[in-house]
Amino acid sequence: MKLMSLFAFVLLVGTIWGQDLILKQSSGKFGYQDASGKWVIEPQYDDAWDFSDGLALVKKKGKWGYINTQNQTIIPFELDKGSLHRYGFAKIMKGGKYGLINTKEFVLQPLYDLIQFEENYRNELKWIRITKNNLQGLYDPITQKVEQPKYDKIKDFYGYEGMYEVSKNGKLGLWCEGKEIVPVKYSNLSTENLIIHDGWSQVLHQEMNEFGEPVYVDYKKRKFITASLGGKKEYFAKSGESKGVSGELLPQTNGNVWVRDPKKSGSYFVYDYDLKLLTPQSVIQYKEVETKSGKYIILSSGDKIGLWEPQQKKWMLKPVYRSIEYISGLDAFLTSFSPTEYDLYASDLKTKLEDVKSYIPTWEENKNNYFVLLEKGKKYVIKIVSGTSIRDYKKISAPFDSGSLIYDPYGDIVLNAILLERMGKNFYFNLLKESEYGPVESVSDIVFWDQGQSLLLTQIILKSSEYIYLDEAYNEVFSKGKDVKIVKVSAGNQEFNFFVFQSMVEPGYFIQTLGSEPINLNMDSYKDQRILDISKDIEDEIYGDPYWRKEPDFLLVLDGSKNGNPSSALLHCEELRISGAEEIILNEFLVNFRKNHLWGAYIPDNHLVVEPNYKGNLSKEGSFSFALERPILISEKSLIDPIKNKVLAPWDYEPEIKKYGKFYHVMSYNYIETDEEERTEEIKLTQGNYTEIIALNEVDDEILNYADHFEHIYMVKKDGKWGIIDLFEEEIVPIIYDRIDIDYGLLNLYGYETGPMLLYKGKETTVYDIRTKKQLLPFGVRSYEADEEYMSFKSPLIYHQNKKWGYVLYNYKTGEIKDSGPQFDDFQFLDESYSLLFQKEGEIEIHLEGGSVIHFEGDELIKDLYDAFWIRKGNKHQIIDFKKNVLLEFDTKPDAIEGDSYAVVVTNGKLGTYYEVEEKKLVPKKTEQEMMFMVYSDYYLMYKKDDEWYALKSNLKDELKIGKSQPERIFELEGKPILFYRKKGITLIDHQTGKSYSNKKGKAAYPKTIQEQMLIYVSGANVYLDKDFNEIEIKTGK
Amino acid sequence: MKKLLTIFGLSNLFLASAQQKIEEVFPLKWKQKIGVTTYRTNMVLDQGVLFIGSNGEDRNQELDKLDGIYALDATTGKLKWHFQMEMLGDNDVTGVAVSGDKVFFGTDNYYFFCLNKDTGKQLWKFRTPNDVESMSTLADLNGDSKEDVVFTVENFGVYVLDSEDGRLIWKQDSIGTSGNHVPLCLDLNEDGVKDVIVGGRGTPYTNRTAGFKMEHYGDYLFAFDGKNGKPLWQVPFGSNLHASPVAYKDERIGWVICMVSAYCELKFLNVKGEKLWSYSFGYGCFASPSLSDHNIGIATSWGRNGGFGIYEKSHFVKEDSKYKYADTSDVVSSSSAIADISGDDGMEFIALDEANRMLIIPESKNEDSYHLILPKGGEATPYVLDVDGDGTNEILVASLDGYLYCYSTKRKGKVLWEGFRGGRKNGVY
Repeated sequence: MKLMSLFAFVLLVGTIWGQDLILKQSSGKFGYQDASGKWVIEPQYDDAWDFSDGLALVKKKGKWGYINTQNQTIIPFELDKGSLHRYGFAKIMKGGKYGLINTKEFVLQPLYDLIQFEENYRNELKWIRITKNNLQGLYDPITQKVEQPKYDKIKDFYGYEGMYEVSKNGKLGLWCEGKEIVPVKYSNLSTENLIIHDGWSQVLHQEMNEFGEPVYVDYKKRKFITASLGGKKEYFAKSGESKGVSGELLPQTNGNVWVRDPKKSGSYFVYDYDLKLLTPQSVIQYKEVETKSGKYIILSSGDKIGLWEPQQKKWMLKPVYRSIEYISGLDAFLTSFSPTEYDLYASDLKTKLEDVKSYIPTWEENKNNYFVLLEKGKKYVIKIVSGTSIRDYKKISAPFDSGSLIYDPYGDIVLNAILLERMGKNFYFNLLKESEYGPVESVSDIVFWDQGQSLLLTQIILKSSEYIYLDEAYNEVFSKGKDVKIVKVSAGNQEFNFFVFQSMVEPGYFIQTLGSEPINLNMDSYKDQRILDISKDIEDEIYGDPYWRKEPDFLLVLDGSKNGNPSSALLHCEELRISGAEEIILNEFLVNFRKNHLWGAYIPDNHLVVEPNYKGNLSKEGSFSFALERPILISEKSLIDPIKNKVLAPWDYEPEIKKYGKFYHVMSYNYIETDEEERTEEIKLTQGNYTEIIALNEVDDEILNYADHFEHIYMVKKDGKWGIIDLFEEEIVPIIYDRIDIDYGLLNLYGYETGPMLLYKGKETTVYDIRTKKQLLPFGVRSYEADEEYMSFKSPLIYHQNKKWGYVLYNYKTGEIKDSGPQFDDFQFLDESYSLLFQKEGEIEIHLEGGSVIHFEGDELIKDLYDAFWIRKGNKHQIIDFKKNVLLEFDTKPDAIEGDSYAVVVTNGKLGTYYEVEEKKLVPKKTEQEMMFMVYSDYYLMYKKDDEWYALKSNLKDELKIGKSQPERIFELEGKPILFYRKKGITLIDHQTGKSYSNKKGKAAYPKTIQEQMLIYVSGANVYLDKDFNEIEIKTGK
Repeated sequence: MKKLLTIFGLSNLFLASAQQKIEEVFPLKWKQKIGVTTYRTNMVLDQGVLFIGSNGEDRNQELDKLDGIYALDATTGKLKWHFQMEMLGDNDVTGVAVSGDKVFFGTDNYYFFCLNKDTGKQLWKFRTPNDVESMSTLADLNGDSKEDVVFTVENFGVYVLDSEDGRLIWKQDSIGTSGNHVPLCLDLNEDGVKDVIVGGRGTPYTNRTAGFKMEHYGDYLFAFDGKNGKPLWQVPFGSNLHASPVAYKDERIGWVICMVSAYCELKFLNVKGEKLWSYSFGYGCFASPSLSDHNIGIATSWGRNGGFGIYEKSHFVKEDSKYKYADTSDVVSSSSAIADISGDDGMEFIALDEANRMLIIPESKNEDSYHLILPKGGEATPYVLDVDGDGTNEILVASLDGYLYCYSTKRKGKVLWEGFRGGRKNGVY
């Protein structure tokens, strides 16, 4: 950073706004006054600009020159134009040509077509580009060396101070300190990760780990320059000295570098970053292993593998093996000469644990023991390996022929169970419970979803067709069963998940909840029992994003024709719905049943029974709509309400024209074809006594998210009053109201799908739930609030009455209504904690997302801290978490607190103290000046020490000294800190090299790092940068 | 638009699909080469003279002869005078304000100027620490009954100068502004002096501001006491602020300040900076809101797709419930003018995309939005007013092809919001 210090003084006087001498105009002439208004330089100039860097650009007799504060001419009045001094330099123009002056004299005579200051993001000068006859040269302000224009293009070389990539006729070279250190003849010039030369910038490399995630590797400040010519690479040091290392360089994730052996294809020399050769020769396989006994390298130089000790440089196991595998759980090496000859060594390599004929490479932890399956003779046994000892596992008495560990459904976690094979039969053995089942037909894992959580059952199907179910702790949930399903059962206001097991030994089904006793439903009189799954799609939410899942809902259909009497029953969960049916047929929505030769139906969704009055099976009659909470059978020529046994007038129009019952509200475009023209016509038919009809499912679906719920329901106006009717013109809400509001927010009234609405009569309002058809509250003068922010929170219904706030909680399933009454002085939606605040004197009530309510004693909620609150209680100031733990308390009000229940920065005066939670208390960890969290950054805290900015990672150890200028963000790209600044677009700076990237188009979002690239969004385009800030892709659009 | 459509014998569908050129609906009256403009560029009509700043042939070019400020005869488009500061460097001018006999503007070459509006002669100049990227607001902050000049300097906060002599009244440079903000001046603390509301962030190149910690991802909307520049309040936004705040008077609430962030978080605040309500609706908002009686018009862009939405001022508007919305296949950076350009007594929101479309969105829900094809798109807000005094309105379009176009609407019509920030309303409705 020599440049910075060199120009520090200049910057101070040159770029800080405000001058001692003040430019003034008098009688058409310009001069300069001091702060008292006294003329220091009498008005004498025709035009003038303010002083900068001690000089002022002034005009006399049509020409410009520069004077100092004593009005001495420093640059004579011969210039056509000038500019303010910046960085100690000013561009001038004379005879139509650009020149450059410093604060004393000409630096570059006016010979050039253009002179440009190349600045960094802080408006600090990097270098000066000079252009003449379309050729470029440069002035290096550090060395004051000038290269006259002779290149086609000059640009920064990867941010290296004083180094410039120069090009001519498409060939590249490198210019440094007045000379070409790499001659201009190369097609490509880049930095290279190489371990030889010191003193340059940190090199980082990105690799993928086994999970495909990028890991970043620090190559310890070593770098070379690669120049390539015709595909052949040469390597240069900064001095221009070629190091002549040949071969492809392959940096490794562990900090080593492989150099391809030019003499042996597929082989590499492996160096550490101190350039110590780690391998005895070039190798084709190299794997470092850390054991409890030390660090080894599994190496192969040919087709044999050995174990190398890099410190002593000796073979621990000579390269004679077919394979060497380190099993970290055992801290042992498994070596093999052949597929049937293994040895197991403890990691000290002194203790041979076992000769192994064959090996199943699995093991699992049980307390402090490790299991390994080893062949003994022709049988397998399980051994427990602990340190350097090995012993038999006694719980499985007989040896077995083969075995394999059982994996969880996702295949990446080994469970504590083994499937053993003996005499061609499989047995399931659980190592934890030491229980054995078998012979086993199959073992599988069944995952059930229960209210957003997964339940895992291990299903063991025995050869005897018996089903056994184990829970995740390997407890038996059910045995001697045939099959299992989950049934969701509502009982009172609660819902239970029942596992329905079909019993092996007793007729009928057993239903039980996990951990409860089975309930025998005594269904043995039925010939057959079927469980019919009528799974429904349920919308759920993960991190705010909705997703759909299947919620199983089962029916037991009991066929009672066992005794010759055609009599069936249908059981929905524990509830008997139909008995004595002759036939039961299930379709998507309903269960058709036949009784006395007539068909009826059961609608599980609504628990409705359609009496058996129909000759045909309803499922075959047409399509159904369920919006009226009963099936509306839509047949070709009529609509039928089978519950009320109503048939509506037949309709005359084609189905695409909506026309229901006695009236038509259809808003549609219909093609009318006449002899003369083809045109569209809006059809708007109304019939009956209504002056206005609004189909509720056709209200803007952005407002009504649950439009389906309102199908066939109409808000109608009659004699100036509003009400709601259904398809059959039955009044759902009497037509007596001045206004009905179906507002977005109200839809979310706790029950979420209730569809409550506001009814207005005069000045009074009430809330009506169209689903239960209940008026929820008495009429009153209240102003109900519907704000997107808190309504998306699924909040209670909030209202304002008599200048107080209140809320209504309503559970449509239970019908329970809780009206707080208008008692709160304040109501707010808290953005950080995503909660609602109701406040009155001395009392704070917080409604968290999900419905739980916290009460605090307190006079004021000063700040919402995501999962905690800053509360004032009298003179005390407290940080309290959701569990009401007082994490921190002050006797006086801190200036500022930011953070959450895990960590806060408390600011008092200029000092900021960082606290972290320990045992329910926030404990001070660090105090610095002007401390703040860095959000959306790869660093955690930023603060000042001795007028320099520092950033700190969350481990409170990795401190990064930034310098005087404070970045807005610090990102990491391939482990390199990238400082992010905004000014006219954005600027990124590689903190280690100082190389910067600017995009000044003005409209910029914060960058993102995506693997080894950085994505910035500027002016309508996505710009992808590599780690050296080369623009590798620019895409318009998202 | 029914009347307009009848006159030209066109249907909405035809307009939308036929890519109708603007001249077929609004004849070209004149055009004048001035150079390119930006989304912060405004136009001012004063006594038959139109003032506009220019970024020249190229926004970053030196020795760009088109840089500077233009005074044009609004009837003919002929150049009255052109001023460019006589110094090497980037002499772009973006925003302009006129008061009395003076015209005020800042440049990208670190100076703010006051010229005589009739002659273009320099009256005073003021050196700024960085570029001045947008127009100044005129308000009397020092109680001398004369309008002072309030403007933002890129990364260096807010400056208030005496319009008479360019003397600094106060500056608040403990915040860093993007330089895109035009200050909104309203008397927030009811002390009889207008206060200054402006978006911003930390001190230049930092996150720190006087008196508050920046703990937050987005920018803040700040209010400063008009008398001395001391902070009154700050309101955080979830993203950067490129737009400038506007305000309107609500019968029940009083002044409502409306600000939108780059990620289209639209907040409504009272004079204390307390949030009244807010909603979010998209991405990529650089344009300032425009205000009608009941609605707010805001342009949005994401990638190369843009649009213009009209949103109700109402508290009860739900997220994403656009009152009306018109899509376009290019970026919309311009704010809108609001005027009855069809002569049917209904208001139309008029904005430009950066490709070649003038978006016309009738405020009435019953009328379809459509667009007209321009020679080239624009960033600057179109300006609608009777600029030539013939009793009918003109539409002025500062195009990215470097020309300023004047189209005649040939009809009278109410103008609610004449251009960028409502012209002389300067954001206050």
